[in-house]
Amino acid sequence: MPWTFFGLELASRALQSMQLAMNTTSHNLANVNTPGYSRQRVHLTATDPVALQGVRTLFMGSGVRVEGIQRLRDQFLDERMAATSSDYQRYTTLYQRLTQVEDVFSEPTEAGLSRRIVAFFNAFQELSANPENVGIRAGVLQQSDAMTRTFRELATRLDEMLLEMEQRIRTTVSEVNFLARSIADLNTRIRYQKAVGTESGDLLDQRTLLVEKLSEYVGVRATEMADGTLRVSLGEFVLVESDQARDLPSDTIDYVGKALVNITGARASIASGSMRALMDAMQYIRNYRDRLDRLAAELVEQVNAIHRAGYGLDGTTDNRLLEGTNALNIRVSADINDINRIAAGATSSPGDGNNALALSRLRMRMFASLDNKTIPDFYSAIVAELGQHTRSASIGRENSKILMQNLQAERESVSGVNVDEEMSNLLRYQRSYQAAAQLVSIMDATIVDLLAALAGRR
Amino acid sequence: MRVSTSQMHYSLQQAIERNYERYHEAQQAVITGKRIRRPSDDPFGASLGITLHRLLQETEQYQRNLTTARNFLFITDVALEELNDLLRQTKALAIQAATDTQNVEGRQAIAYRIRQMLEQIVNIGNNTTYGDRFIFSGLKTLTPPFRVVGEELVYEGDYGNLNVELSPAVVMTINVQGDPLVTGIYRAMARVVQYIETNNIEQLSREGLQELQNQLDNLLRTRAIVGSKIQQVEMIQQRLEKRNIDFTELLSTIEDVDAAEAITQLRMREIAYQFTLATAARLQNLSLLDFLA
Repeated sequence: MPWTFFGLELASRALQSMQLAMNTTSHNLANVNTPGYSRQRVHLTATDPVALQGVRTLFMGSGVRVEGIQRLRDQFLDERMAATSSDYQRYTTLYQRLTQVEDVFSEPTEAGLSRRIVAFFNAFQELSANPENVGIRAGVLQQSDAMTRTFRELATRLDEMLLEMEQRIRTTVSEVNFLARSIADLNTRIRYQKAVGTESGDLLDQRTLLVEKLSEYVGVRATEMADGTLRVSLGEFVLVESDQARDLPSDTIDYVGKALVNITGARASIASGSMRALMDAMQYIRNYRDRLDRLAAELVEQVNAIHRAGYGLDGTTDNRLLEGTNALNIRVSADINDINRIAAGATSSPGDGNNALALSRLRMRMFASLDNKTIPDFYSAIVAELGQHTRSASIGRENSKILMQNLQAERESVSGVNVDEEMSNLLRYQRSYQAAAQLVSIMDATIVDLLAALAGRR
Repeated sequence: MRVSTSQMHYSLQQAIERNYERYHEAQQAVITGKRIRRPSDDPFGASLGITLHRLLQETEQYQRNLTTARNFLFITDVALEELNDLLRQTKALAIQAATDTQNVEGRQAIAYRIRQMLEQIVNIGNNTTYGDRFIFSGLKTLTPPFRVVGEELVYEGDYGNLNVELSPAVVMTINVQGDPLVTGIYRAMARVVQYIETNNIEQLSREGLQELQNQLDNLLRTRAIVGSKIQQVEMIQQRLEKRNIDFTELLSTIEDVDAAEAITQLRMREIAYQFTLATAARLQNLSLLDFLA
């Protein structure tokens, strides 16, 4: 026979277990909106049976106990999610940035440089047919000014964007370093918990969330070690190892190599994430910017070569129309302090528009320095390439977004909290708790009866 | 598949977001009427669009150039026709003067009339202008081309060509220099007057008339050139107008949205968005909590 208080003890274990189950359910309900939270399940198990020695040995059930609290999580999904959100962030950021660049170029609208270039050459054609006309000369000056100003505005705004992005990369680096330190802290706590055998799902959730955030900035590789700590690396560069975090240096950024170079020389390759997007965008913008510079320089050189050979209405020659060496400093030359100095003529005859004609026909000439393209085509090639870059970023964003949504659904299916489900669990555990409480009172009654019987015999 | 509460919200949010974005896109298409609003909407179409815009912008300029060329050539043609008339009259008078029956008084009267016509030649030469420009001065368009010194007509202009670009392939010279055309006519007529005044009938009939005929032939050739240039300008003008229409149409098919299609699309997306919102509202209201006593 089991001992007298066996039933009470069984009931009290049931009460405790159900209480724990209800608390865990409450925990789930409380965290229904917590990002990165994984639902937890109380793992109930029957306690070891008691052996009753008699004619035959009987095994009698002894109730329930909580084996553990399980965190429902699929680590494989987490890894894929981190990689995908890294890609998503990369393409989204790149798309946003390149869209801004598109806004700066303002093609295809009246405000774009392409219209200004054509208007510039058209003005010279108009001048070639009416070289003595003061109004048309003023028009030429105005179009030259408008074109060079558009060049300068484009270059200035692209430079501003580059500067802003460089700043953003620096803040991202400090953000990454902060996250790395937080992960190292969590590593310390998780390693301790694991050592004493009380692993907590909530800390793991927090760490997973931090790795995910980190992935949004830079694509990282995270490996869980035997002691429960997470090793996080960027290519060769180990960001977090055990309880140590290593800072990414923010002062030695090498954009061209698409990598951050650390002081000791180990390269941290930024494979993905918003930081990679910033680096890519900067590279693209620098490329557009360089080509604008080449275009501006070629334009100044070619226009001046013809213009200097011609004569103004005031008989002067060897005047430059434009000056400057790049897109940022191209402007109408100080030589043109009077519209009569615009050299329309190949001779000093006032009706000579042949030099203006030669200037306007420059637009059809191809130049080796412009990849054997004409001036208008060289420019529209930049715009077409910008469109391609933006488009592929947009496609990358759409694709990774769909993938991310699917993964999110899969992961939520495993780890997410469903309120209705938790409510029904809560009811289930509540009923069990009520039953166990009833059990206590029945057991209590039997013991009271027993005690009363014993008292009666005495 | 098991669906968590936040997943349900998330999916609904995604659906609302996506459908709203698509609704907004359709709205933009209808409002702007443009299919390509930025290069990334269609990189190939956008770069083609830039080229077409450039060609259209250039065509506009060509049209202005063509108008200039045509007007300039017309004015030249009118002046040449007047010169032609004067030259013909001179020839008729010279033939009259060369006849043996003509007496001295009659010849003097003829000489007087030809001298008047010489003045008219100078008038035509110095007063035919395009705007403020003297058309016979070569490129010294601000200087009157002719000055009479004694019996000679001195050319004050130069021999420069006024060139105008009419299409990428055609650059046309639109001016006729006053020398030797007008000066030649003047010289021949002045010579004829001298022969008549000095009663040198032999030289008048032998050389004078021949010179006048030479000038007439020369003028005819020049007029033929000017006329063919006017024809060429008109042909290019027609071609350019057609090109303009073609380019505008092509540009429209590349850049513009089909209005009917865009509006239908907007309506469809609006309905899709309404459905999404209605579904969201219903799903958000369902909970076990509502059924627990």
